[in-house]
Amino acid sequence: MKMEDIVKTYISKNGNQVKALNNINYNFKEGKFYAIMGQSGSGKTTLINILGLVDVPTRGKYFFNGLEVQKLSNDKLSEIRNNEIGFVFQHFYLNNRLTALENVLLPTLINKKHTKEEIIENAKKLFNNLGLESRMNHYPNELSGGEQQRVSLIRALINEPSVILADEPTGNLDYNNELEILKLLKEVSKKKCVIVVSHNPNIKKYADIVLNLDKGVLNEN
Amino acid sequence: MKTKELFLLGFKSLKFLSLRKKIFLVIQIVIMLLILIPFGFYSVFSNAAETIINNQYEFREISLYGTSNDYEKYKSVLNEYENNHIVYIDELATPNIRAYTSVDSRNNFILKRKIEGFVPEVTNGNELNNKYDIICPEMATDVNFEELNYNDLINLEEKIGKTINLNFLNSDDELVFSQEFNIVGTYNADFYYSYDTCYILNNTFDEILSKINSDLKEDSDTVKDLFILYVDNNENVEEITNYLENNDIMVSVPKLDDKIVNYILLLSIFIMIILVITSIIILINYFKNYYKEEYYNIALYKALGFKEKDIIKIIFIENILLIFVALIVSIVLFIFLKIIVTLYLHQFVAFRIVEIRLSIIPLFIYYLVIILLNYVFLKIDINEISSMSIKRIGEL
Ligand SMILES: Nc1ncnc2c1ncn2[C@@H]1O[C@H](COP(=O)(O)OP(=O)(O)O)[C@@H](O)[C@H]1O
Ligand SMILES: [Mg+2]
Repeated sequence: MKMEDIVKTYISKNGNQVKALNNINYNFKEGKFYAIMGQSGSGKTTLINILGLVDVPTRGKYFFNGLEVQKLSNDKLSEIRNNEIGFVFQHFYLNNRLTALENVLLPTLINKKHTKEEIIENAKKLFNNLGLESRMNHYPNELSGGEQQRVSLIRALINEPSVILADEPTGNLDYNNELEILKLLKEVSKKKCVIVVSHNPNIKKYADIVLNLDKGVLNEN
Repeated sequence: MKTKELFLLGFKSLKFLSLRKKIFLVIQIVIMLLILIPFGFYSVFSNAAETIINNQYEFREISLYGTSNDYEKYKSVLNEYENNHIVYIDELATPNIRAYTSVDSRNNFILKRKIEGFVPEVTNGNELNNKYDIICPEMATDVNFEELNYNDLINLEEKIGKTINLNFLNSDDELVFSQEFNIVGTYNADFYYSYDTCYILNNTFDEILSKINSDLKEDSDTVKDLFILYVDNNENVEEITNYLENNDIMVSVPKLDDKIVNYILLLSIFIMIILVITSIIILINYFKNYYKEEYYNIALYKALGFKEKDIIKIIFIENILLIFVALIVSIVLFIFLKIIVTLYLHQFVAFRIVEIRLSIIPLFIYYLVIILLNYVFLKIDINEISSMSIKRIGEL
């Protein structure tokens, strides 16, 4: 994932321009664990949203697997999000009407990579690996924060994406759960590109590459 | 997305209805019931209309008529007659029911019975003040009530203020004497269904009665409806009337004005249109708030890579299922209501209620209209869906 001169400006409510990202040039590579550190308001969420094709930059070029994102249709972007990108959010974002397993299967409903049997087998394996096999048929509100975040991690992995994007994935978790999630992400990063945004210094121990975001400017540490 | 999965997602969302959706559901059930009920009643009359067209007995109602003297005889015949098709027997008459004085075109006046304390509202002229004042129907008849034809009516309204020479007959129809009366007013005979009843003062009545030396026993020689039988099915009417006629009972099967059928149909359609319009307004409101309420889930679907058309399908199916629930519930409620009404009220209004039928077609039309609207709104609001994004969940 290559970013060239990426700028994102917001117009705030009182009419002022806020430069959330300022000339970002960076090439994210596969098989690495990236940690993006920065204070609140430094533009971390904006960056990860653009990386995840949820948001578009004001200026600059962004290439995803060699495709220039600005030139793609909405449907193509959805397809890439579904196939290539797994999201983990600070607030988990699970569908409260669906059980843990159903939440995990949600992204597979529109994905043709595998048969239904393969998908369910795969999901069960992931639930086992993350120690959630007994929680598969529980609803999100019956799960603890740590469990919910692990479910959303399984959901991010289920379509075997090449990139995992996590925006403060441990922001709402206690210390033990935080370590658990970071270890899992570390494990995942052996085969995929994992980009984790955080202002928590603990992450440095796990990351291959630590990047600093300060007032919209990205620097390698 | 596969249809099966779409429906599974839809069913899932039915299990977790928000208060707003529950209220919407209840409103839809009420609207559907309000559509079902008038059409249910219409079906009663349309059935009657059908039989009129086929020249059959149109209403499952048989009148037994005769004079008061026939009352006991009819009653005993009915008591002996066991026929399961007779749903209810209405006893209309007691032996002492009212009778009337009556005039015919030849001014033959027959004293039928003294009617005390009752004079219809007079449309013209004065009250009865003088001994030989009389109040007549605007339009009088001397023909049998059953064969009433407006052309045969005598216009007495024109004769207000004039005199009329009445011939008084005894019960054997022999002229006893004549007397001149002043027509001081007329009344609306249409309203009272009394095209042959005139009113005179009580004293005058008594005096004339003594002059003609008639032995008036109540209204024993007045023909009137004594019983009405309500029959469950048209096909059984003939069998019953035949039996009664063989027992010397006079019967008639009343005719239904087929205009009424059309009025009820028009009324039902009118009600349905009003309800559909009301429902459209409610639907617009529902969809406006729908996106706010579902923002979280829609934004999530998008982040997970669902295309807009997938999301539209999900919402579409979800709402179709919700309204389908309303459809089923309203039909069940209607059937329930019908059973209750039939069981507990059929003693009073049996002949109508027994026939209430479930008219699915108007409801089905309504369901299709809602589905169409659902689809149209989704198409209109596609921009709304495109603008939804996970990044804005926090802002809301
Ligand atoms: N929709 C928006 N409209 C206006 N300003 C925004 C919007 N989203 C973010 N910002 C501003 O952009 C800057 C970066 O925000 P964000 O990417 O959320 O930072 P972080 O995730 O590091 O806290 C902040 O100053 C924030 O106020
Ligand atoms: Mg943030």
